[in-house]
Amino acid sequence: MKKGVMRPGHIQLRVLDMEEAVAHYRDLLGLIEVDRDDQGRVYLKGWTEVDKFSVVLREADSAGMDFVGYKCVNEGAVEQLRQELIEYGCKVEDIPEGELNGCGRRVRFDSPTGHMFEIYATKEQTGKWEVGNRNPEAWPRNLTGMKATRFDHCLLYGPNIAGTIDLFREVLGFDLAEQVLDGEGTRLAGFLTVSMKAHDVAFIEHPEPGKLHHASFYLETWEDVLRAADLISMTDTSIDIGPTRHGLTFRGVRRWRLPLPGPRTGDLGRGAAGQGDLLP
Amino acid sequence: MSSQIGNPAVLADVHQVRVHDETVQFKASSAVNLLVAMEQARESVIGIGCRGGGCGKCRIRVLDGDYETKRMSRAWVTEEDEAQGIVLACRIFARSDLTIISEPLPMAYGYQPGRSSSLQQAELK
Repeated sequence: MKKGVMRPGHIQLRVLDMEEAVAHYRDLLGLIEVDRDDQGRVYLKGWTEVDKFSVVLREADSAGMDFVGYKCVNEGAVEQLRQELIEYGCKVEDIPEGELNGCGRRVRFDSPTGHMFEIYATKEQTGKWEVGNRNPEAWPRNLTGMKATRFDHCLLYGPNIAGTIDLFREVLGFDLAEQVLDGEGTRLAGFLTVSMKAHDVAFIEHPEPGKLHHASFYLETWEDVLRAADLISMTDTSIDIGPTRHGLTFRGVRRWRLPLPGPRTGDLGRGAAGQGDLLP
Repeated sequence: MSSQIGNPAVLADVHQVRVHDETVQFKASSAVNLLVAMEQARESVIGIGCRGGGCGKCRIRVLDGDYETKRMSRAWVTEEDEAQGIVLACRIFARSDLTIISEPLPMAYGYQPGRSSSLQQAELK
């Protein structure tokens, strides 16, 4: 049952070196740098995204994900879900409007896998980057790098994914699109959707809590994917796997995947490349 | 000594890197990080992961020699580790000849193993 959650809206990532991280996300992936705040955080988005930002980078002494936030249809839905999260047993924290530049109040909550999630409904809408609403051209002329169009989803690793999947289904109104079970019926992976996308978030069972495997950004065509692969080669950027396809939530074009400068997943090494995709 | 990292005015030196208890040696330019130097020498004595100081895959101990470091994830190299010469190879730059030894992390239960076993899995299919 839909509960008013619309889609993934933002993700805050911890990076070790902001200069290197901005070179990666802005110059190579082609995200647009839209703001910086007095904490030194850098805000970015894909050029097609209407809301002000979808990626926030924070410099820290370890790499990974601080939280991922889901946008709801209105503040009433956020308030209703906040009550349901408390009743479900989540530890809920209210983040005031403006803590992230241009974003309204957020409700942050924990999960059995050790990840922090947020829901919110209000964010400044600055429009598609450089094309505007009035007789817009087809695309901005001065995009860089891979020209990533928007934040798509993330894959998270942690223990007890069954618990977090239940939370997303029962409280937030996500649907389980696909899952992977072992011979005893234990769930090893789950892909959930709350929109018309094949998945909006995925979980894989892993003993270390709160891990980020990857955040992904949408490219429209196979040619875009190959061009991105060229750029990975041209910039000598570490690559985990791809370009390739996989069977789960198959959608025709499989994106390549970069290890972000940071997140460790237990299988990020070159030797084990692709297990996250191929193991199921 | 001021940092040479990214300073074009400083000409790169080449240092010799010896792997403790092994015959492997490779040359490392002071201008590139130790992991890249190892890759350029076509050696494989250090694990390769994110190459960005975050994943801990290239954790080593420097037994002898001088080096400069960039920021490394505290998840894999604590301050105590660093004081003992434990570093991530992708974040250090040789400033003299070095002697190193691989210092991999204890693997968590469920850690997905590397290439050899994934190839076995592929062959089973």
